[in-house]
Amino acid sequence: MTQRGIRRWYLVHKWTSLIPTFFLIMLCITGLPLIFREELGPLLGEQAVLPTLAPNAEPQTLDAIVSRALAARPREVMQFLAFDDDHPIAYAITAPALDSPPDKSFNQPFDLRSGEPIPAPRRGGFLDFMLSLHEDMFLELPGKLFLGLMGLLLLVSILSGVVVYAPFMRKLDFGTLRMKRSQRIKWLDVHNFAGIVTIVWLVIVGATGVINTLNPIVAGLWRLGQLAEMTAPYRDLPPPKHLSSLDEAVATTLAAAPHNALSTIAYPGTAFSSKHHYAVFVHGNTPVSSRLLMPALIDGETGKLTDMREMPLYVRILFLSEPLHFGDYGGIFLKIVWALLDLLAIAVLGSGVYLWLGRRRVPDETRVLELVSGGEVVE
Amino acid sequence: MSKVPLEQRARLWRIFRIPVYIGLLSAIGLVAALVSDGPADVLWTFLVAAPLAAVVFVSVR
Repeated sequence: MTQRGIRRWYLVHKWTSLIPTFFLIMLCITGLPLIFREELGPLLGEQAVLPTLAPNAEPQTLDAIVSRALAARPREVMQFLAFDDDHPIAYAITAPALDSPPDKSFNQPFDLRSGEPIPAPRRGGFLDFMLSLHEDMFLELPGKLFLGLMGLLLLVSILSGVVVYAPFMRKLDFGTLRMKRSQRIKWLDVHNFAGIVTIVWLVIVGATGVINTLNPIVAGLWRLGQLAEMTAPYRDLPPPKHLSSLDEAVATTLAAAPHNALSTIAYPGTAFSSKHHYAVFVHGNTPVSSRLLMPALIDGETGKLTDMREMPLYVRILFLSEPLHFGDYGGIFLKIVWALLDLLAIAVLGSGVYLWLGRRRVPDETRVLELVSGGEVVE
Repeated sequence: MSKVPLEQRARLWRIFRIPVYIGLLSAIGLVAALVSDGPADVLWTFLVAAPLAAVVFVSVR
């Protein structure tokens, strides 16, 4: 590559790294506790915990659980009934209106083994704070899209970093760390080494992070596309006067999808259903299919299954992006490895900032010469 | 035929050989851990940890 070409790639790497660095360091720091949210949640009181089961406890119907949830919130309506993947807990989500936004909703967990309510997890705690900061910096959709843009810059920065790595390492062996030279050379070698070994992990976490920021857009597209298509014959029908049994809706769904488990039920009139249907979302029981939801539409008046389809590819990609971003799919050992790689990523970002602070005193041309000469550092 | 001269290709391979191996191990581990379940996850986690192994190796040598 010519010196001019190297200079171009160097400048691309410099600016696509510098612009998002602050946000990427914030994402790495807030992401650390989120890797262990399943472990930290119960300790911090931010996740519902199952009580000891009373000896005479008997499972209750979902209809009975919903009745209890509504009796506790008499001025509200049911929006969703969500099911914990790992514990027999159902979360009854009620709100003042069917189309109320999530911040107006109220979450009541129930023990499915007894039908008894259990203490609701604390909202607005440490993990919620970290998640909000990590997802959208408390700015909702604009915050999400901004962080998605920072993620795209990260991907360009990684690509340009690989390009400038080649001339720099021309005369150096892999893993060269010149610890006895100046602080700047030491950190330059640490930056190059830590960056090149974590590259695949960084690309996967960065790319899935960008995909995750598109969550609201993907949900909107699905509602306008597949959901609208599935509910089209019912578009002009009035809402049901009396809702059919929720337990029957679930039984009908599981009979049609026998190897699946319940994930969430959206009530008629809510954002993820039609005015006329229960949308019963189920997931499979293999490691991959357990991450993928499938909607079954149950007529809210007759209790009959009207449609059930696999979700489109773009939605499935979104579902699989979440575990690949948070590393919560391979047990505690994978989580520990994920956390260590996250710390390594902080080292790459931090050393990049350190090098930039030192480089401000030196013209870019000098640093480009450093690359062209194959790592022969111009002090 | 690629326009990259043989000598340059050999040099690029020398520079990127180990990072490519580490990246491949990581990628295989990341995907395999997603599609597998149970004790095999521990094996795949070792592959995901390839970059950490490289850091430890370079630090102690």
